[in-house]
Amino acid sequence: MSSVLPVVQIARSAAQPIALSDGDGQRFAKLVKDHERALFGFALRLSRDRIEATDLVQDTLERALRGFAGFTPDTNARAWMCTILYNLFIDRSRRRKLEVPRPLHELNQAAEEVSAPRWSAITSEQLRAALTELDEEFRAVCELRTFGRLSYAEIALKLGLPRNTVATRLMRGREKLKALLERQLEEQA
Amino acid sequence: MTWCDLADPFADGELDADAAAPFRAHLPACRRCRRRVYDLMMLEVVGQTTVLPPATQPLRPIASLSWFRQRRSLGPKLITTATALAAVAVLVIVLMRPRPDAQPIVLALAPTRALEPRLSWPGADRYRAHAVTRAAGTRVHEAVSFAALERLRARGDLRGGRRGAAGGRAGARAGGACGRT
Repeated sequence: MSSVLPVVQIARSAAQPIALSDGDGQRFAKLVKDHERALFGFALRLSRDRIEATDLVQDTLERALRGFAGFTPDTNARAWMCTILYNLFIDRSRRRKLEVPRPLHELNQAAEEVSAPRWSAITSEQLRAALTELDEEFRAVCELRTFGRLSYAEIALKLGLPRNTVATRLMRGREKLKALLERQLEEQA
Repeated sequence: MTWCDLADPFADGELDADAAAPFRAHLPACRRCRRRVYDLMMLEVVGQTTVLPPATQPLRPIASLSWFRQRRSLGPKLITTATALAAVAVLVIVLMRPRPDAQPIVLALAPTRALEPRLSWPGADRYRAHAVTRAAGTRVHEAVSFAALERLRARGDLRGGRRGAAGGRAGARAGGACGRT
């Protein structure tokens, strides 16, 4: 992926000018450098279109830059930026879908946006602790997918399982993992 | 299979284009699928920023090494140690030996001049003759009069070292003048 525009250019090319101090600019430039590739990967996976993914990342960076003052420094910056990206993706898909008439209750549901504070507060230690509580059959597929970033077919080959079994175990394992993480967060709160 | 069963494969990029397009159209309208895809994405984000501890599985010993450990005795051990020490000594000698082409490093021995040539110095515009500078900072002034020099020249002794009968006193005076500071 070609690099996105520099921070200063993002700030200048925005529809409304963004006031940015030198310190904020440097911090944001580092964020962009660290997470740009991951953002593009998520955008590409969601949109399946390289041009749309680039636009999505660009809009994400602009919105992140605009709201950078509200970002809590010690939390997960990638989770924060991915949340922005996901909300933008949903907005775009919704706008595209508005051309087709839909029931009213669907429109009401679509008005809600996901928010990030829960996920951005989860630490790597909490994730490791939650993984150790999973059963072996679920933990193996979850670790290979989450940390090894293997595809379903690769996991199936590695573990000697059918692909559909991998998909099922992965779905159930991640549901349990999410429940464990939520419980940990509630205890922490 | 419902739409929501496709949330995991969609978030993992496992759906082909034909199946992904209708799910993408379905996604904004379904709160459950939206939430599920978001959770999976965030789980992956947290996983990307997580560093796993190193594997705790013990390393299997190499067969040949264990065989060597079982059969080694004091003799081979001493030989190995002596060889290692000798190798270290040879290495130190080779490294510490001065190279033939190496020149000694000369520090502060280059010809130096006083501060006169520096134009920023206020005294730079005053001419001062180059002369021997003693350690105490005094200069030798050799002020020999023309008369004494003429006497020495007539005697053929410009250095003033010879003491003839005819010009003994003059030579002595001239020599004294030369030696006076």
